[in-house]
Amino acid sequence: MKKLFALVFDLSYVEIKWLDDTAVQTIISGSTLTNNNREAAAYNNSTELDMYADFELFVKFDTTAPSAGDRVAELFILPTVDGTNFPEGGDGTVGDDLDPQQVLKIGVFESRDPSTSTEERIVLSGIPLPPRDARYVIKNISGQTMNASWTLKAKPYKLQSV
Amino acid sequence: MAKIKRLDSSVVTLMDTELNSLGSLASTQSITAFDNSDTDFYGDIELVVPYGLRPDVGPHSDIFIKPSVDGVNYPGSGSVIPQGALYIGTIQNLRDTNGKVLRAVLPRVSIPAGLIKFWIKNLTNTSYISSGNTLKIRPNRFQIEA
Repeated sequence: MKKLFALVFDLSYVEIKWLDDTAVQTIISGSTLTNNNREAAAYNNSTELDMYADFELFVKFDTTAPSAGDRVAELFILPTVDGTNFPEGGDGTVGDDLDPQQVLKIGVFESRDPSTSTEERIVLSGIPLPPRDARYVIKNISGQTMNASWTLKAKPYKLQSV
Repeated sequence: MAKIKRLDSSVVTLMDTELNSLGSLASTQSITAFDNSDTDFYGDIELVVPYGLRPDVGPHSDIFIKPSVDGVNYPGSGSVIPQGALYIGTIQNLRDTNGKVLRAVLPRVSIPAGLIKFWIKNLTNTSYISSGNTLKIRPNRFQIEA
């Protein structure tokens, strides 16, 4: 009866929403990246424990730009399991200079307005984050050289109940 | 307002000696079941194989999950391939260099509550080395931080 009363007269409820309380993270500040090569860096989510992130590739190209609609870069996330070691693949800094396992590829950046003079912002949204340290690998598949000004940034976020 | 975040659990070894000298085309399953009594949602599963002989690039190891429904028994045996619905992923060889460790991860594998065994088939065209191979899991779930 008490529960029925609460259902009828207590209209309070809980909302679950996004919580955008983690600052934008610069994962990689690029250097010139030639076609078919990789650049990687670590980002540790063990403190904020965010659920997802939106990733932004900010890029222009040297000499020649790819065509609009071309896929220009792949993003891999390589989570550590033991807290120390990372899966194979990446930029040669950790592990071998090889493509990571395809199952670790979480998205492909597709250019809409490629240029040699102005950087373009390309975003992958709603990517699940591992709750610990991981390496983030960008592979240039544009067929052209990415200018040294390129960056990979992440906007992590979690949920909240109010 | 309460924050809803991820919650990481500790790493657990699923298989080690079971993988010793696992031959090409051979399969095995975990001797001890993984007890998901923490009722984690997901697991990152890591296979480490320090190959002694040079594997080919491309061949792989298939991994299956075998949950116990009654808490005692598991589907199939170590030598029989589980049904496709229990398949969780493939780990490919990335290189053909002698004596190097393959360390590969299947991320965000959905895991059920209760007891689970894991099953692996070596399709790499070469045997695993006689020791030092491991299959581990790092489970995780969500938490509400008041």
